[in-house]
Amino acid sequence: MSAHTASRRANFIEISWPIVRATVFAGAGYFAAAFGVAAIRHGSYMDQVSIVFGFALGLVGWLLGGGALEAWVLPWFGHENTWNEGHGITRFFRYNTDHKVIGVQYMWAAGFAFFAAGMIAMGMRAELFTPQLDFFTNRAWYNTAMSIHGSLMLFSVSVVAIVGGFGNYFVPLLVGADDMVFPQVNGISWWFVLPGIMALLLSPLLGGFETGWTGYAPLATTDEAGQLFYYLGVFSLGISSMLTGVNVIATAVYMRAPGLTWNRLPMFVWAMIVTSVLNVLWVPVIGVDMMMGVMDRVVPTAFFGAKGFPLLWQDLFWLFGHPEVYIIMLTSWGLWLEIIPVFTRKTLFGYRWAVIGFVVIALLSGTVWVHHMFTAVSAARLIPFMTDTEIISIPTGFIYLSVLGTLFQGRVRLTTPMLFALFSALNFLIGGGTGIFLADVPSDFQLQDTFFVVAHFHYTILGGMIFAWFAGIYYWFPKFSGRMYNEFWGKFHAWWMMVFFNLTFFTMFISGLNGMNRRIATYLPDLTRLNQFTSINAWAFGAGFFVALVNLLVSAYRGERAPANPWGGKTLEWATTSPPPHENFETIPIVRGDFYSYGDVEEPEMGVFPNPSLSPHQHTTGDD
Amino acid sequence: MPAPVTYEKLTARQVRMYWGGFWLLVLSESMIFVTVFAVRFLMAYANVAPDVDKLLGGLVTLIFVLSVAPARGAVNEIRKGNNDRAAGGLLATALRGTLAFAGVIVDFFTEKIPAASRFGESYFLAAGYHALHIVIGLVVLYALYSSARKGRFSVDNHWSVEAGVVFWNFVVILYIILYAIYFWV
Repeated sequence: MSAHTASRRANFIEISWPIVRATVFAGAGYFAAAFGVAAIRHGSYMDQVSIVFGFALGLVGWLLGGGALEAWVLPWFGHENTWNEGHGITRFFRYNTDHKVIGVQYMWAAGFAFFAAGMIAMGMRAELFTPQLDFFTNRAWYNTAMSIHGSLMLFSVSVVAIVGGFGNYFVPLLVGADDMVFPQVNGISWWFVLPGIMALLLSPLLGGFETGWTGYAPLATTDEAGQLFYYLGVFSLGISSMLTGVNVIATAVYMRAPGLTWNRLPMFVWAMIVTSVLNVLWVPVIGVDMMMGVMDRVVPTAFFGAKGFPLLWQDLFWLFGHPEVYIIMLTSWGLWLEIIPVFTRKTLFGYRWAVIGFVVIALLSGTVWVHHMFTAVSAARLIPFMTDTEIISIPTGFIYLSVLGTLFQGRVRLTTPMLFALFSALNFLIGGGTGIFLADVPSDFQLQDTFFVVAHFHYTILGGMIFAWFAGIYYWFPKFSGRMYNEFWGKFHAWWMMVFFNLTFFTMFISGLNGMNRRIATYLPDLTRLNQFTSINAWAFGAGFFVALVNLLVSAYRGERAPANPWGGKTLEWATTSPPPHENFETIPIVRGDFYSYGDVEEPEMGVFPNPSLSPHQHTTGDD
Repeated sequence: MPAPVTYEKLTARQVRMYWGGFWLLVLSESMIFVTVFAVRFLMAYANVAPDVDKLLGGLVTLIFVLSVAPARGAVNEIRKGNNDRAAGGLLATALRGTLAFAGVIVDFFTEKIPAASRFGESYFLAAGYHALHIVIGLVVLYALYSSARKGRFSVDNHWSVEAGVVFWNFVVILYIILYAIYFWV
């Protein structure tokens, strides 16, 4: 349906009506349930029970309005699927089953959340520009801003942008498949993301929440009703992660092209598989945690309250929360190892060791969570979790070994994606190195709850993952847009980000060591200079993203046409056109060699690199 | 009346990968209940509140167990391409499921355990999560029944019936475990 009308330019109504209809349905569902429950219980439509039922039915309405009505529910009951998946730009704003479209949907949703959460961070830096309270009207709003910033960045950017965006777009391409195993499930899973983002963003309507992204009880149990939107939003985002995880693993296991054996599998696919295993195993755990939080407010039960067991919240939260750090980082490491061999023209060093590193990290990631809770737990739990945490740096070392070994004596081309990948590796090194002080119990007791911690996790997540995300965006921009970005502005953005990122966050280590507390709107006057330096650099850092936005938007429409393989990469996504056709490959490719062997082939000319790992022979069908 | 349009033929490879993905989903769902059951023993140890309604719980369990046989029959029939008889089996399963669900709802409103007690909160957590799965399973069963009545399945494509029934069995097994560890242990 989509291909025939692709040349026609869509108007605004065509683009927006599925989202508008979904919003109307969501609103109708929300208020119907909220008023209905209020009437039955003789309560208010604004009390917490009404809100929870409202959210549940609102979510159903949102899914139905977005296209699930025609594409899911009616076909279930034996009717024809009458949903129009759209054409051109309209595809990105409606239910669609093409994994490439869904990848872009995830990326724009994550980009939107990144923008919103980033603007909130700018506001927080405005507040911290002076020691006293002046930018926000009271401390609770600062805390709410901080909480929304953290929740959005963690739950809807860092675990969504690469895993949902690149994962959906590139895993089928990298394994030579025409789509995911469950395209319908994939189509619906994106629709759980926006309700999650909107619930977090709209939580101030219910009074906001002050607990930060970790939602610690017992503070959470006495918080405003906005805490409910945190529980429900995170739950909704979790469903999306879980469904994507199932799809990615099944695709990588069952849909690999002929000849694509496990020891030829691209690094990014390995990273996505391991990440998805973590998603499938641990996301349900935090889902239960969130539901317990909801029950404490609406039933009410007493899981985490004054008579309850607040530590249980922390245990369940971090049982997911620490693997989440690896859900975030594994895919970033996959991107480094995907990008670095291409731009050094050298065979990937230690392929197997890097894969072993991924797997061992995933295994260990579920055994370290208590290091987030050292100051809250019994002494018996300190030493084992400190040891486990420090052991996990060994497999991480394998990945650095692979990066360094590949770079060693390579002919490095410092393009924008390569710069970002190297910067990401450097920043993560600082993030990981400072993590040792936090994993170590005696120093953690001193450093906990200070800006040292804030700086540490921003180095790993912002410096590591967001930089890797941009590396991926620039690396694959020619593939998904079909056009080249502007290299000068790309490099400018990379350097701008690197310089101001480090000026912003390195200062936080110092202010943290000097006693600057986290999650607090006011501070002692002698920390003013450091904080002002941080704020000014943070604003400059934030402004840098507009350079990227303009560059990428202008390039997407005006950039020069991209060849199929602009970088001379050997993985399968470069073997098809830019952008790839609906079915990805004209014929299913047959893999005959290693994706990362360089040096035994001639230096490619840009754009006309013949891919020796591929054969043009047609593979008869996908069936065996 | 025009001849019913059946779903497209599934290849062996498709069936294999659908099963693979489906079991991953079941694994993920199992993690929910592993967590919930662990919370139960963590919060309330092996204690059982004295006033749990063992009889009602037992009845619900019995109805659940009785719903498995017609589901099995539906799978056997659909493997032979017999839509009408499969529809009968699916409807019988769904009706028994609905009855069991009604029992669970009655239990929710008549249970005397205080929700804020150590045992009560973990009971309502588990039963609530399970009720959500009953609803999903029932929607799937009624949807399959509706499609089967329209003659949509064939010998070449009946995977969704098989998967729907396996999911229903998963729901039933979970309830048996739930009954054992919340009503007796």
